[in-house]
Amino acid sequence: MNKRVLTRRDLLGRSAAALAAPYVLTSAAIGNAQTKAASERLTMGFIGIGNMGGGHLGGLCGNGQVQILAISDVKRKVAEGGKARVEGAYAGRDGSQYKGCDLYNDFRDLLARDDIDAVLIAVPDHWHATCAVLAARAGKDIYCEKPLSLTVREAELMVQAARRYGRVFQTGSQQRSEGNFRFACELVRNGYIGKLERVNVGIGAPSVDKFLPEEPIPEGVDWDRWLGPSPWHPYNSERISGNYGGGWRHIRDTSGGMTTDWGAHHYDIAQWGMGMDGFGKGPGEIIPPDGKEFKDITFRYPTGVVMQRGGANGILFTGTEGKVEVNRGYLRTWPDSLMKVQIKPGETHLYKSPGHHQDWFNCIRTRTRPVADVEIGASTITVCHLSNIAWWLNRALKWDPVKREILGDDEAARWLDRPKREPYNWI
Amino acid sequence: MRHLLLAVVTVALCVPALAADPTSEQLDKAFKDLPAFKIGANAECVTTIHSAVIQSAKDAARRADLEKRLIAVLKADATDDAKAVACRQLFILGTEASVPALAALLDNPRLSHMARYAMEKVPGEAATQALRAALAAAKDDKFRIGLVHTLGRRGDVKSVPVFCELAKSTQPELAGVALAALARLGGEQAEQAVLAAYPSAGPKLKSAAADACLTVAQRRLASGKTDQARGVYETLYAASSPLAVRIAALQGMLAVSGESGAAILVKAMTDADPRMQGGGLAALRSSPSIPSAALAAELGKLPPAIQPQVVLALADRGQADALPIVLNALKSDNEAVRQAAIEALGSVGDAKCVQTLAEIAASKDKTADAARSSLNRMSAKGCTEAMIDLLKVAKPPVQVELIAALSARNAGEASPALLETASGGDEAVRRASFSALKRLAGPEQAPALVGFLLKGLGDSEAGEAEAAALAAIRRTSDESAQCKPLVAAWPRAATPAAKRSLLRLMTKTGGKEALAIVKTACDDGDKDVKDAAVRALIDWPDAQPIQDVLTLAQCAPDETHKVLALRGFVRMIGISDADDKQMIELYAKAMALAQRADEKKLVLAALPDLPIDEAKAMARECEKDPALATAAKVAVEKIEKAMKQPSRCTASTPDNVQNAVDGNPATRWSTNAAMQGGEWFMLDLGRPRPIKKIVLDAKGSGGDYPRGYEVYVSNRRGDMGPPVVKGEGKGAVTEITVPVRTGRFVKIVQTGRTDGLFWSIHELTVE
Repeated sequence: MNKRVLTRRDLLGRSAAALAAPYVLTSAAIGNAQTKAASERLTMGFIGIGNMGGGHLGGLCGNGQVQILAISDVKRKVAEGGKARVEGAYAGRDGSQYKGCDLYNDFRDLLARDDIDAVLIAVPDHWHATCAVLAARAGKDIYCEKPLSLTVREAELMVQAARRYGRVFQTGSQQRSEGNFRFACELVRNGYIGKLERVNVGIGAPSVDKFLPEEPIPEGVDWDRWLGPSPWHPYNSERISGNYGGGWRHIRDTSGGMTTDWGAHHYDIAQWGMGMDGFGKGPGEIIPPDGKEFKDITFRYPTGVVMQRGGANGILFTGTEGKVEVNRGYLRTWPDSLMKVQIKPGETHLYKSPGHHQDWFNCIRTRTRPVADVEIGASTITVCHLSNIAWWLNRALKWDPVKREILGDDEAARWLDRPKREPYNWI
Repeated sequence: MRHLLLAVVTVALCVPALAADPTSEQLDKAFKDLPAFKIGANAECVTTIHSAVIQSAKDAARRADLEKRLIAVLKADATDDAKAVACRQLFILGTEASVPALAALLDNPRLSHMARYAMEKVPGEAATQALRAALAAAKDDKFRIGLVHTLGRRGDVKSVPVFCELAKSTQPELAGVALAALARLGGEQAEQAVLAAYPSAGPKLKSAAADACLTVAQRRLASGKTDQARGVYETLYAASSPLAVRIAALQGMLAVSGESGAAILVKAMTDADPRMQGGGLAALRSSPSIPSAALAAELGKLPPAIQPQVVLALADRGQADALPIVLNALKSDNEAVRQAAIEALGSVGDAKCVQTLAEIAASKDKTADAARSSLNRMSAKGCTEAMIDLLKVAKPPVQVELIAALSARNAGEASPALLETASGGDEAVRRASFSALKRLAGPEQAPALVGFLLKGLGDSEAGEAEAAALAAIRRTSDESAQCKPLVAAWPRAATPAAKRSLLRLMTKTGGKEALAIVKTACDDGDKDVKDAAVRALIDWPDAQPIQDVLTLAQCAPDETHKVLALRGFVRMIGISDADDKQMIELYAKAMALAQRADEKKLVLAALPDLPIDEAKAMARECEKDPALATAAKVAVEKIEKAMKQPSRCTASTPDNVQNAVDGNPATRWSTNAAMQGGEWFMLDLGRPRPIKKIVLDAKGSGGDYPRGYEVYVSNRRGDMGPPVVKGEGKGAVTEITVPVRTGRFVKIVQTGRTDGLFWSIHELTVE
């Protein structure tokens, strides 16, 4: 293992310039994308650099607040591509001091490095929980892509680990850092559309089982490790693909499908607007479509609010006195005048994030919970998983959000977790 | 073709969740085919069996039969892939009956996981015994790892002795899973094994061993065994432990130490390693038992870099003693601490803090911005009132800050006080007051604000006062009453400047009485007042003075007024109630009056709003003039296009809006979502027209008629006013009689609710 060349970064800043870190952190205080002194950069490792991980890598290579020291990926070519990208970006910046980005097939070796402060996890969903829990145990702060987990119980383990080890854990539900989503939820939370009655959420379908034919394993792909804790399947290029139209995202053994892939975004906003995010809150009943009364998957909340998939461009909140609909780059209210509302000091103000990565960096410095803290991610993914369980089993579920149990249906409760394949029973 | 084939093959390899319930023949065939199933082949048998499993949830007998058949597959000479499929289904419905068949696979390298996959969920002792037996017989650590994990999940306390032995394994993954299981199971023997393993655990086991110890400690703490928990935490917190473990143990140390934890926390936050300092900071936020005062007393001993964060963390805890600590921190020699304290006052500060913050905001200190932010955010009861009270006595620089804060806080209740400060002796205060009143003032302040315009303010200050007055006036909901404060003030307008201000505002409000004043002022002896009046007349918001404006265009002695009046005339034609014949006559008059190409082009630009043959002819005639040829050609094209599309439509669902007016009953516009109230459809008729009847035809879509409706008619798109008629739809064709209104824009809002039916319009007609 290469030793870290750059001097140890001081998390809280040793220089006088770094002392000024006010609560409402401005880019001037924390540092913007301009290069910080090496000793002040956050050192990072990347676990998984496929579609999403590669995107994060590209963005953070140019961020002067961080130094990427290592990458772990079970596809060697992909890992080497990432290494080249990082080294290309840094060689110009750090010149002769730069020694290179290390590669690991086993992410545990990356976690064992004392010189890495934080990790960004962008492996497929079935690996999220294991990577995150072990990262927490290793004392790393964590950014984990959504969907947070493959099962409800995995999400709980992730929260437990983050709290136990005092880690700053940001779920990759970046819509929480976008102003129009926050404003839409503030309108709802402050009663500007009257009493909230209904929420519609536009997302796609659950995953399915697939039995894809065997193909030769390409050189440099550690297929067994890619499968990890999920059930064994022969190598197949579609299965390993991270393409949004197909691949592992649509396969039940590795993901919850579009229910979790987009539900992690839109159900997250829906619950934020409802004030139903966080442990102890959530739906009491989940009802799959029945071709009669319920046209699509429906959630009934103890507050009386009904949430249903479909019928919205993003998320549509309907109240007794108005509506608000929000999606990326889109916000609409009924009446129009709500667009001009300014939320007053005494009203509910939701967390204003300076940007999803920046928020994480800020919270690492202040040791506070970020806008999409792991518990938020867990409460969101729970809704997604319950939706899938009800859908797959084709029956309504009753859920106790306080005890976090499915009531009166032991068979459905089996789906709250899935036994991991040996020897990947690390959590 | 290849993609289509791939799609077909892929579908065949997928198992959709909600396929139809198979017949018994289909199921028999599926079970006949399953034993030979290989991954990559057609998965229809898998789909069929899975559907039957799902559909059988309420049929115990059918379930039992399915389980029996799946067990038979496990025992048969079937492929490994087939047996794995059977295990997947047994995950869903397996009972103790499945145990023997599943147990036989627990040592099968290819199938051990899937057998365990199913068996972990099977309730009852039989499954646990089988797993125990498999563990005892296991020859490979890989199998042992999986079995220990599952037995731990099942809560098998009888496995504790075996786990205690396996925890000593030199294979760290096996030892780790055994320790985790022991910690989960609890009990004296298990806990002792966990605690014994930690000190000597090698690097690859240390993390798992520590985590197991933390689980033990947590359980002891939860059950009130504080001293026993403390022992574990002290071991983990020792300097020899990895940093991550020490940070985790710190939280435990604080939990068991009560108030004396403050000293531990201070030590952590003064540790040489900044990561431990950060761990202390995080622990402070999550440890309500540590008295804030104890930390505050030690604040000065902490590393300077962490002090501001500690102040913020103490404020964040939301405890009653936060405010005194923050106020004390305001006196710190450490600038960053003072800044943090000022920031913290935004969340914990009360009304008594207002003056301090306002004074800091008014100072040139680096913390001024932080103070402003806190003033804007303070939410404790009485803060706004305190700001208003302080306004009366504060020095001007402080007043300016208070005024800005009240504006940012949207504190409309401050308006009366701001009227006072707007009358004060300090210009900066007056300007700040007007700026805030523009945002906050309501109709009740309008007369007073108008009164300022009579006082002879300087030009730029007058401009700010005008803006504030106008904003207040516009908040009067009754449009016809908006001009009243201006009309009331007119007799008191003693100076030309005052009159000009009022005239400028009258042209914004409109109103019959205001118009009368403006007309009279057009003959005022003061040339500046006269000029303001003429301009106000020309810019009048409706077409009431159209004849006066035409007269000005024809006869005004001032050439500038003539040109401006002609422009105003053209504008007013477009918003008048004239019918098509009258409009074209008026445009002809305007064209004849226009001496310059610019004004003629204005007329040409307006003609497309009157898409009739006569307008087209007028535009064509202008093509002969080289100076107008291009503009005339554009006008002709627009008129021709508008003549083909008589109505411009917009709607809440923007797709296919023209289908509602295309004359083709087979096409439709639709909301594509269930009616929930608030959906709308709007027609732009191009120019004001009398409206008597609206017909909404949804015949092609049966029940897609509006369950309730409101109709709005207006000349202004952005201000439709109140509904002119409301009602309920009863059938596929909804005929709405409108009390005769003239307007350019017609908006229909759907107000009812359905569970699934959309609102659709196949054809919309307006008469």
